Amino acid sequence: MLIGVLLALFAIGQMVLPGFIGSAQIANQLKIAAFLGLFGLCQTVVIATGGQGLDLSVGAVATLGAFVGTSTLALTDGNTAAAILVATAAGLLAGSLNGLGIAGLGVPPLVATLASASVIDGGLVLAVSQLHPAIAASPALVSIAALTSAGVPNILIVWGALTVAALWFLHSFWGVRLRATGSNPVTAYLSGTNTRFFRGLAYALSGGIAGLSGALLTGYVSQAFLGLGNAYVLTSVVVAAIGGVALEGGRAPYLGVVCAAVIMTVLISLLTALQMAEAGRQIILGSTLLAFLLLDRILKWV
Amino acid sequence: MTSAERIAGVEEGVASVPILDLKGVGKRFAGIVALEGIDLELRSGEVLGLLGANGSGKSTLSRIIAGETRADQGRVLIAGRALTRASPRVAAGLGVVIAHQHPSLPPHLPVWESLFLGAEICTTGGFIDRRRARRDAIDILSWLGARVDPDALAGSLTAAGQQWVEIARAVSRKPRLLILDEPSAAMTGPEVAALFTSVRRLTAEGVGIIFISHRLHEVEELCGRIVVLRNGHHAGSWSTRGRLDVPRILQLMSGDREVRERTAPGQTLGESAVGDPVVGEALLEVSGLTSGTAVRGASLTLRRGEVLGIAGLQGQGQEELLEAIAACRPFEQGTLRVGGTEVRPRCPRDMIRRGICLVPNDRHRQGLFVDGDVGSNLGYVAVAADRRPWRLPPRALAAFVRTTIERLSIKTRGPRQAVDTLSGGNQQKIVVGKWLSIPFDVILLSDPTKGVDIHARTEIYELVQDLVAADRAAIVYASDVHELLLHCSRILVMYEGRITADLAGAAMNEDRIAAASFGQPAMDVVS
Repeated sequence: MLIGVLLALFAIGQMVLPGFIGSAQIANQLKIAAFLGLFGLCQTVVIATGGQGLDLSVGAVATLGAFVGTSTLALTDGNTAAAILVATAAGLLAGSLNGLGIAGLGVPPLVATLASASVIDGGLVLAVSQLHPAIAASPALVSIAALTSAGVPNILIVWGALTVAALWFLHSFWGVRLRATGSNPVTAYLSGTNTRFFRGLAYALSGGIAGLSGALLTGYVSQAFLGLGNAYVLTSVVVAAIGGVALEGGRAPYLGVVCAAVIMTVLISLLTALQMAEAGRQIILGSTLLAFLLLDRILKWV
Repeated sequence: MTSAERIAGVEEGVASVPILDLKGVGKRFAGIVALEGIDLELRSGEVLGLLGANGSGKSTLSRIIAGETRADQGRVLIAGRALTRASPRVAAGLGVVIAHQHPSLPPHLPVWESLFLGAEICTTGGFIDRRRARRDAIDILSWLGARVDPDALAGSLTAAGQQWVEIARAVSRKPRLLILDEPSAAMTGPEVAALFTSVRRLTAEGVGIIFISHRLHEVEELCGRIVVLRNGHHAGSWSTRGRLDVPRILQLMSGDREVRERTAPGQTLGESAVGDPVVGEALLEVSGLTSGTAVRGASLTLRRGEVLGIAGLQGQGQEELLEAIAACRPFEQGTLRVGGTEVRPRCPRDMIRRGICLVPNDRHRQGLFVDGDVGSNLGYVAVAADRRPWRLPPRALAAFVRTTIERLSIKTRGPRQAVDTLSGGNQQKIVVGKWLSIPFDVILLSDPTKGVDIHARTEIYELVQDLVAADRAAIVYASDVHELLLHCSRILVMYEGRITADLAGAAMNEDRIAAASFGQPAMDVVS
């Protein structure tokens, strides 16, 4: 169904704006979709473990990853691999703290991730104003995030590899246990699952992916800045919901989220190309989310 | 008839009209027949027993009468008025109220408040009259003879306590027709007796009652007339006059299937069908186990080859004892030895690795992934126990699921069928069967036959016997003493969190169990 919607969107685009389906155009769209898709993966993992799980700190953690990454670049003479690793590690650390609070101490996810987002955001403002860290992305990072090789955007290859890894993880015994924790934590626990571990793990993974995505984002926009990841907080939840991740937990169809990320990106660019004002775009995006959720309900009833 | 006229006085001339009159009622779910051509009449003051195997349509029929779902065919008349749309509110307005088998009480509300949910007693100012509601709740509960604290939170009650609240809620609506869907499933002897007294008082006031139960001796005692359903069809009905032709009923319920149930009212209970077991070394030694206020210093020994039964009144700590052994609740004091070595139970995962597994009491909340399918539920224990979790589920898992479906004769279209579309008995088989995927020594079963029909019940106990015969051991807690007498080689009785009797052989009979259930030492019993 999602693929059908996607094709329809492309068709409409081509009709109103001839040249909408050009290979360069599509490559460009997929580049933007890749970031949305990565942030959607954060929410997919977290929402799937249930307990009203949501990660509202992905934006802040991404910004953290971005600054940590560019600082590392300055320290290690432009070593891009080290920068990406350190950014991911920083994200993992932040996510683990979320996980500890939520799974260990029982803080509601909404509160815990909102609080950590605000701590990280505030800390970054302070750190940036006091320490003036390096913010430039290395050429290698720019090439990974923004350039194409043989017509295929490099970031798409990264996204593809991570998607394969995510699908493997979500379908392995680990993934089944993680989803079972979301589906019914009591049954999962009594059947011998370490449910707290998996709930915590989900937030750690989400943080790690957000940190990594933040580092890659600096490559895309060629420098780190405050509020870099903010736009992705809500849109990542939206693509997860449209992709078919049940908000009550237990389901993690990441391929659906991938489709949803592309749909959202194409829809936004179509509306932008049609020169629709920001207010109109917001209304249409909100209605799209509602329409998809409604459709999902109706399909379930039939 | 006189009592009927008193009630009927509300609307003149209705005394001759039955409270309930069904003609040709039918219902399909996704094209599959759930009910077809049901005719039924019920007059005031009558208790009708509704019998049938799981999945025979009892629940669907009662939900239609209570206005929770609409019949596709036929008509439903309540006191002469047609019930045309699915609305519990409209049905309640006509005088039909149902007490569900699995009540969904809001867990954070006190009992008295949840009693009047949806029918709040208001002051003239439009606020809820809390004082009067609480007083009325206490009145109804004591009228029923239910020992339930009106101020307790509904979520903290035992299954039986919640059932009482559900019944009290139904009775408080002053029904003319009351449907009791397995009200006694979680209750023990004295509670069932209190329930029956209340039912008789209600019928004396002219209330018509539909009573659904899997326990034939209860139906025999209470119902003036019974109706048997099979696969959504009317299989037979007759007046009981205090006696039931049990073999015939079993045959009607099962169709041509062979009747394998070994229990029957009138059979000399205590003559266990289980022979002398070959008993081996101690697998499990519990001493002085204390957990919360429910279990207070319980001790027991379980040997290889034993099926050990735990009896007692509802809520004496039986469920909690099993849960504490399986580390599903804190093991606060006492010692546990598994196969001779002392163990500190930490979490279920830990105990499962030591070969102790629990079939929990509440299969919906604790045993199943209700949103999952048959395969994912059956295979989950293997998934959770696997030591190489990075792998994708191997073929062997799918093979295990298929063979287990066959071995336990789980009635399903296949591993992909949603588990919430199965009948209770088949769901329970899955909850037990999922443990067969890993090696274990001891299986603890907490009320494994609650809401399960006779055939599935027998099959579950046969499975337990098979497991035990293969050099394992089992502890079974069941709220029905007859079941324990039939299937266990030894019975412990619990009272107020302690084991008050250890009965085997000739001492294992209903009288001794009853005495110990009230905390009296077995020696004092003159039988």
